[in-house]
This record gives sequence, structure tokens and C-alpha cells, in this order.
Amino acid sequence: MSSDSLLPASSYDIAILTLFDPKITAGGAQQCAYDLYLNLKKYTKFRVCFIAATSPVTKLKSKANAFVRRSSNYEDEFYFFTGEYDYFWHCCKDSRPPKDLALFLEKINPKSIFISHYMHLGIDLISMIRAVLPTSNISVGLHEMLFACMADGQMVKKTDGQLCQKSDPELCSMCFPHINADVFAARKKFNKECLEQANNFIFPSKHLAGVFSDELNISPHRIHVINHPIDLSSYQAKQQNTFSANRPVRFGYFGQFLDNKGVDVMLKAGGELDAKQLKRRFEIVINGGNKEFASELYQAKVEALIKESRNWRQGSIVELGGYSHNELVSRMDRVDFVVVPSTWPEVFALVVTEAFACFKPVLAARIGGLGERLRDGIDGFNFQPRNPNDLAQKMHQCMSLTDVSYRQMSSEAYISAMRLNPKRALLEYAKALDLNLNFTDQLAAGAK
Amino acid sequence: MNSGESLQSSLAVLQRHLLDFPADSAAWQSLAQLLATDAAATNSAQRDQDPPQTANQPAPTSNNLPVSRAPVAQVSPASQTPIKSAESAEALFRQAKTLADASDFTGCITLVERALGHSRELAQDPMLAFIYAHALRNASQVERALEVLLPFRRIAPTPWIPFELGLIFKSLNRPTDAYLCLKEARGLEPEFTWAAVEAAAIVSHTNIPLGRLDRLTANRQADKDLVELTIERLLRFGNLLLVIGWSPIPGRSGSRMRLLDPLVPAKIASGGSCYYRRPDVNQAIGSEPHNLHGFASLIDCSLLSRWSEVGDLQLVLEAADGAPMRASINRIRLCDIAEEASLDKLLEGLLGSLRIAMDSDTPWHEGIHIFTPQTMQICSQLFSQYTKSVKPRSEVHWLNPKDSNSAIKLSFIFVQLGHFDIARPALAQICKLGIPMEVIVVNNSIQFFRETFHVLNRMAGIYKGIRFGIINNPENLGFSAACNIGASNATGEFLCFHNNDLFANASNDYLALLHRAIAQPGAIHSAYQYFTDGTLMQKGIAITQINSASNYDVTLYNGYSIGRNQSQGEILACSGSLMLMSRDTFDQLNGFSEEYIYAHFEDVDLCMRARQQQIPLMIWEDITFFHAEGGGTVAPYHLGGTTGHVNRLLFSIRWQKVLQNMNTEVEYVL
Repeated sequence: MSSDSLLPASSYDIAILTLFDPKITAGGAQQCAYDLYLNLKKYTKFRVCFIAATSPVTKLKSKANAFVRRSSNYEDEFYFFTGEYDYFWHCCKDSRPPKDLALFLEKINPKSIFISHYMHLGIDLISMIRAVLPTSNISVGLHEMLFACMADGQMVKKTDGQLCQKSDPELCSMCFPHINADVFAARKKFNKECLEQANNFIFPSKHLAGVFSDELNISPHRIHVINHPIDLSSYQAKQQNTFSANRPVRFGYFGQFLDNKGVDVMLKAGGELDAKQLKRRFEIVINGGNKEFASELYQAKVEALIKESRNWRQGSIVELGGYSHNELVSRMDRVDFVVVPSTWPEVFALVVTEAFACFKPVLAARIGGLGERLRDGIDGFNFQPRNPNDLAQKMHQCMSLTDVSYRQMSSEAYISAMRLNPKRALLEYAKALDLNLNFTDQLAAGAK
Repeated sequence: MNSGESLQSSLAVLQRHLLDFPADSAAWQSLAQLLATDAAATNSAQRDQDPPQTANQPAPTSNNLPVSRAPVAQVSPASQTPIKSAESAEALFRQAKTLADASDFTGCITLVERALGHSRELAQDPMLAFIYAHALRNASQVERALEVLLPFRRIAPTPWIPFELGLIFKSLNRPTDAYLCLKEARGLEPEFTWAAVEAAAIVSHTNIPLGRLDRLTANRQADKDLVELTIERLLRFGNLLLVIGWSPIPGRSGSRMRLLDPLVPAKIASGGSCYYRRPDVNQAIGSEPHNLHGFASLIDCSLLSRWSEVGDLQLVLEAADGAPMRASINRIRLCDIAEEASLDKLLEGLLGSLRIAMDSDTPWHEGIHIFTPQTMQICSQLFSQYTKSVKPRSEVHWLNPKDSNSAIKLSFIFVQLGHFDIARPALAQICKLGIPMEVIVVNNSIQFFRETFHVLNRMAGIYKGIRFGIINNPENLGFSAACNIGASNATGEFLCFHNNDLFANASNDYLALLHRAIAQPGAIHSAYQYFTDGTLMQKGIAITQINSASNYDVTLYNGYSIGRNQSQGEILACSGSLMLMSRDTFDQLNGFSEEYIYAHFEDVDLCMRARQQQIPLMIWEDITFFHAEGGGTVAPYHLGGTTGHVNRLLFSIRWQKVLQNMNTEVEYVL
């Protein structure tokens, strides 16, 4: 690499900013942003740069007063050194990093800026970019409901576990009694003032787009829903040949073992299914990590349900614990259906895409963005959220499938995954980012 | 003994008695009568004198002189007959004293000088020097008297020499020296009441540093009616004394605490007090719950600032309902209480006590009795002086330079006390206005400078045409002074005073308000304010007269927000949380009054002054602001919920005459 290449290009057409560098801290949002960056580089002639925020978690060493630094091994990639971060106002506590970043962007003068996730960059960066680049297109990606809900953006009341339909400062203050409602109202206004400075907003699901639109009264024409794409080539899964009756039907849970993930609903459904005294046996296979992060109350509740399951006659529970991304396909191979029983309005539920990529039909709660991921009865079944009885019925329905109908459902699941191909997503992003794309022939062919 | 001697003697007896029994109302009355008689007699005597030695003070008569060279235990009149020949210094002294007692000062001088001419040894005799100087002073040879007696000041163990020196200095109009000599006399002889009286008389008319004469009232007798207060804290600033403690008897709203000085009886230190019950604290300190009543009293000692020179005094509790006065067993000596270096400490104790009282279910209108109108005004003046003295130490930090190409149209002035984060939504809106502006934050909580800096600095230089600045006050100077400091540094044609927790419905509301002000620059402009839930918070402030269960010395008035309920009233003011006016209008009004303590009512005061000057008040209904009330200030405990009541009282005192001629609504606070 020549010494010149260490310098950033004098200008870029597109700047993609996100909360972490996925090469350092894995995560869906940052991976999507990085994939978009790579695909834009691969399939278009745009000059694109990728700017990933850091946080003290990354342990990247900062250099005094250098807030935007070149990634040493990757051209056009930069680190933004966030410093301390205020998760209430979603701003960097230190004013110098975001100011420097805004001035850096002014210098490289991109025509389009995509803030794929404003966390660790600061929501006020949107306004600052607007001030220095008044004519550039600014797009903002939203991945959860943090703009509306401080309780991990899940819209679930900490008080009684009920769902919030819309943010309400008075209710927010009940979840966080040390913060008064007026401060929540000010936060909401601040979020709106900053977000309004963007041209477009990109959401992975209609549900999230709807919540955002309701909260901030944003015009629909500024809203774009783009499902997170998936590169199927990285999932070497095979469709299973049989759904034979001589072995238990396996319902798998994949994900974190946290309070609002609904593992308890699934276990209760298993109990109800067992009570039906079916002829066919079944297994509930839990691939769930981070149990220790669940509340003690929730852990005790789940433990009690698992203990109860020892009395089941036809069913059993198998706990396999957490898994790495590399293990995903093999774990998926060991189940027939994937159950996503979340009790909070999941925004996208990547696990559904992953299940589809592995030919697995999905049983998903009809809640939030999760509810819109399935074609009910085609690539899986929806059930009423938080309702073990309904889930038990859908599990029973699954167990009643013939080998042929299971295979058909499994194929449809994979087709659903194919719809989420990156090139298609790239076209949708191009529209949202106002790129007026000059695609290479390769992209044009792929898109066709 | 003639009638004058009898009067003086009775006065001394009464004064001694009252030092021990300050709650004896009958004795006070008798003292007043005797003093009146004494004053009449003195006036009569003064008419015959040519001229009086010092105003208001009778010169000591020879009745007070010692009968022998031994130290005196108490003043007693001389009764010896004149001695014609002096065989010794003792005999000569007696002879000279007899002449002096007969007011034959010339004869006395001649006698002593003749004797001294015969024997130089006699010149070394201190008592002879004393009587010689005494005669010289009374013969108007004061400087000669000083020359004679001064060498003996430190020699003899008798109080008479410093006493006489004190009187000589007094005649020479050297009160400080006089005081020190009299104090020395008092120190040598604790029961030397006349020295104490003379000292008190001197210091009550001059400005002498504090000190004290010990043991003046050492022989007190027990008093069965004494109240035993537990005094936990004595705070003094200037002439104000704050007493905080516990009382075994409950006080009532309006009751007073007094410090009475029988030696200077016309001058009484008096203060209001508030009481509260804290069974939790009682329990913590080991007393029975409900056994002790917390109290705080703010006493104006401006008349007693030198009283402690002559000993310590008892607190006297005077109930509002005319019940007999009760004296405490507690002695207070101002000179023992170090003056606080800053007014802060006194205010912290004072307002903290009020807050504790209110937190202990004492209604504010009872707790506010800790102030009398007099102490309230003193506090206000002290606060004003305090802000003026601190202001020069404020530091101005401009975070980016002013754009030299365009004149600043509008200066926003924020006042910070606590976190500044809450101003983020307003700042986000202001930054969109696109006009040459200034945003000035006057920071009353310097410990939050870092936070404010980082909130503003990210915008400085990013938003073109906006200059950002922070002014750090080294102390909390309150809202008025901070606003005035902000205004004095602002260069905008218009000034917008803006609370941190306020924000507009949209940026355009700011522009609309500015355009109205441009169209009518000679007015104060504001807008309707809403709670963050969208309920109307206020469309202006009316003034109501308060009727409460506890009567105060002056009628209390309140600023009442109109719009938040169905009550109506004439709107006379707008909230200081949002005021936009031209620089000229602000200057015409001379800014906010800095006599209001920290915050509250300065806005109503400003609007009242504007009204007097026929400056219109425009509060626009079609411009919408939201007020995240209380989210913007992190006030220390003592300022939370107290200054509004205190400044309400000050406002009422200040505007009493104007408001009582207005048809104000009545508000009941029970």
C-alpha cells in the first residue's frame, strides 16, 4: 500500500456511518451497513467510504485529538472515536468528536450520507451534518424503537410487562421513576428535531416504520422499508429429506435467553401440547445463550417450567445452550421447525431469515415486525403473542403435517430467504439513498 | 445622696437585674420610665453646662471616684471630709479627692502640683496621678490629663486608671482608645458596672471592632421560668444572626425572638421565627418523639452589633398571642460567632430551615414568618450587594468568533443552574432559524461547565452565523443577576430570555415571536406556554392577594398563572421563562432587579415596572411553547421550593402601595 493510499480520497460520493465496525464488534445492524458498503463498492462505480463508530467496549486505542482515523488495513474505511456516550440523549458527551466528524464529512463532501444506526455517532450528528452539507442527501436507518422507548427500545413496560402502543412521557417516567416525564418529553422533541433533518428513513420492517411514523409524524414518502438481506452462499444448508413419523418432531428455539424472548411461552405451550396426549412425540430444543442476563425472576420461572416438563409423557426439553454463527446451520439441521415466541414487538427478527435460509418453517408470534415476516400457512405459522394455547395448537398443526406438505413448506421458507438477496436490497437502498445509481453491468444483470 | 445619684443607682440596679432576667416585662417598663426621667434630668443639666463634653453621655461625677487607692469592688460615694495637709501619698490622695468630690478641680490641681513640686517621688504614685488627671480633665485640660496618666496605664492593678483614661480619650474624641481603656477597666474589675456602661455607650455610637467585657453578668440567679433551648447553629452575616435549634415549647407563627440589652435599652434585636416538628430527628438525637420543636429565627442585630462588648445576652421568646415573654437560659455573644465569609452560608441555613419546616408539614405561610419585613429587606439588600461584589469575577468564554459581516439580530440568554442537557431541544430548534444570533448561557453552577461546554461547543462553528458563549459565575448569583450579566455581554438588537426547559412547537415559533418584536420593539413579548402533555400552562400572570390562616405583617401578593385552570384575572406579567424584548426596552427598564433572592418574582417585578412606564406586554396566543417545567434546574435542597415564598414576601413589601390600590383577586392559602 502506497503512502498516498493512507490518505482519504479528497471526496466521496457516499458515506456510510454506523455504530460499530462489524469486524470488531459483531451485530446485525453494522453487518448490514458493511455489506451495503461492500456491495456498493463491488457493483457500482461510486466512491464510497465506511465510517464505524467505536466505544470504550471496542478497546481501540484513541489518539489525542484524533477523532476520525483511517482503518490501517482497509481503504476507505474509518474509525470514529466516540468517547463517552450519553444513552439518554443519544449524543457523544464530548463535543469534539462529533464536531470533527461533521467537519470531516464537510471536507469529503459526499452527495449521500447513510447513517445506518445513530448510536455511538449521536442523533445530533444528523443536524450537524445538515448544517455543513445542506444539499446532501441524508438517510437514517432505524433498527429498534430506541427513539421512542428507553426500556431497551422494546416498548414493554418495566412495571407490568404490558406492551406500549406509543411512547408517552408519563408512562416512560413510570419505567424510569428517577427521570420525570417532562424530561422524557424534551427527549422526544429533541429526537424529532434531529431526525427531521434527514431526508429519508430506512426500516427493516413495516411495523417499525409505522411506529416511527406515528411517533414523529413523518411523511410516508420519506420512509423506506428494506428487509435486511441475506447472502445465501454463506449458509450451506440442505433441505431435509424426511419428516417421518417415527421420530419426535423437533421445535427449536434460537436466540438469547432473555425476559422478553418468550421461552416461557414456548415451554408452557409444550406443556399444553403434552396434555393433548398425542401419539407422536415432540422435543423442544433450546439453543439459547446469555441466560445469566435474564432477570432472576424470569430465570426462576423458566427453571420451574423445565422442572415441570419432567412429568411430560410425549414431550421433552433439550437444552443445548448458546451457539456461534458457525454452528448455526448444524444446530438448525437438528430441528424441524423454528419457534420465535417473542413477547415484545421484535423489529425484524433475523433468526427468521436464518431459519428460512436453512429450509426451516417458522412459528412466529404475530407481534411487531416479527408478525410480517411469514406468509402464514405457507412458510410457517403465526400465533397469538404471549398465548401458549395458540402456540400449542400451531405446534400440533405442525406435527400433523405430512411429509409432502412439510417439504413444501420448507421449500417456501427457502424461497422467502431468496427474496432477501443483497442485490435486490441494493437497488432499494439506491432508491432510498437517492443515488441515481450508475450500476455496473453486473448489478444490472443481477437485478434483472 | 442626691436625687441624681439615686436615679443612677436605681438605673444600675435595674440594668443588672434585666441582664439576669431579660423577660421581666415590668422591669423593662420601670427601666423605660427611669431612662425618661434621666433623659429629662440630663437635658436640664446640659442646659447649665458649657459646653457638654460629649453628646448624650453624662460625664462621670466625682461620686464615682474610689475612696481609697485599693481596687474598688463597686462604685460608692465619697463621704470623707477634706484633708488639709498631706503627710503621705495616701493622705494627699484623700485630700485631693475631697476637693474633686466637691468639684473644686482647680483646688485639687493646685494641691497636687504643689506637692509634686516638693517631692518627685510623689510623681511616681499612680493614684495620685489618677486624681490629678481626673481634676485636669474636669478642668478642661484634657491633653495635659492624658500626658499625666498615660504612663501609668499598665502599672497599677486598679481599674480606675484605665477608666479615667477611657474618659480622657472620650473627651479627646478618640472612641477606640476610650473603648479599649474602658474594656481594660472592666477586665480588671468584673463588677465595675460603670465601666461597662461607659463602654457600651461609646461603642453604641461608634464603629469599633467587636470585643467583649467578660463576666459582667456572672452572678445570675436561677429563674424558674427559663426555657432551655438547644441551639445547634448560630450563623452570622453582617447584622443578621440566624439561630437554629430545638425548643421544648412550641412557637407560633408570628412569634418573635429578641435579644434585649438593658444597657442600651432603646435598641432591641428582634427577629421572626418558624417552628417545625421532626419526630424522626427527635428519635435520632435520643429525645422523646414530639418532645422538642425545631425552630429557626433570623434576628436583626444591627442595633446590637456592639452589644456583645459588654457580655452575653439571653434569647427572649415572645409569642404572637400576647403570652408572657420567656427567656432562655442560653447566652449569646455575637463576638463569639465568627462572621461568615459569604452570604451563601447564611442563606443556606436560612432557606434550608424554611425548607425543613415545609418538609415537616409546616405550611409555607407559617414558615415564612422566619422573616420580618425588616429582615427580609436586609436579606434582599445583602443579596444585591453580594451579586454586585461577585459579578466582576464572572468569566466570559466565547466558543466561536462573531461573524463580522452581519450584525447580531437576536441574543438568546439562558441561565443555568444544574444540568444544561434539557436545553437540547430548544437549541436544536434555534439552530435552524438562519439569522445572525448569539446563544449565551450564563452558568450559575460552575461545576457543570464541562457539560455546558460540550453541549454548545459541538454547535460552535458548525452552524454559521451563530455565536455561542458561556459566562461562568463563580457563585450562584440567582436568575436576575445572571440575566443581567448575559444582557450586558449580548450584542443582539433583541434579547430573548429563555429557560433551559422550554422549547417551541417548531422553529417557526421563534421566528414569529421575533417578527412581532421587530414590528413592536417597544414592548415585552412572550407566548402561551403549554405543559408537555399539551395542556395550557399559562397565558400570563395575574396578581392575587393572599388570604391565609396565618396573618403576616404585610399583605402578601402572589403571581398566579392564568390558563392552567378556569380562574381568570387581569394579566399583568409574563413568565421570565420566555421574554423577548429589544435591547433598548431592557435598558429602559434597567434590567431585572437583583434584590430578589436567587429566583422567582423578578419577572413579575420587571413587568410591573414596565407597566409603570407604559411599556406594553404582548403575550401571543398563536405562538406555542412547551415548558418541561422543573426539568432544567437542579437546585440545592435549600433553594428548592423556598425562594418563591421568600421573594413573594419581598415582592409584596415592594409593591404593597401599588397593589393595594388595584382590584386584585383574592386567593386563599390555608
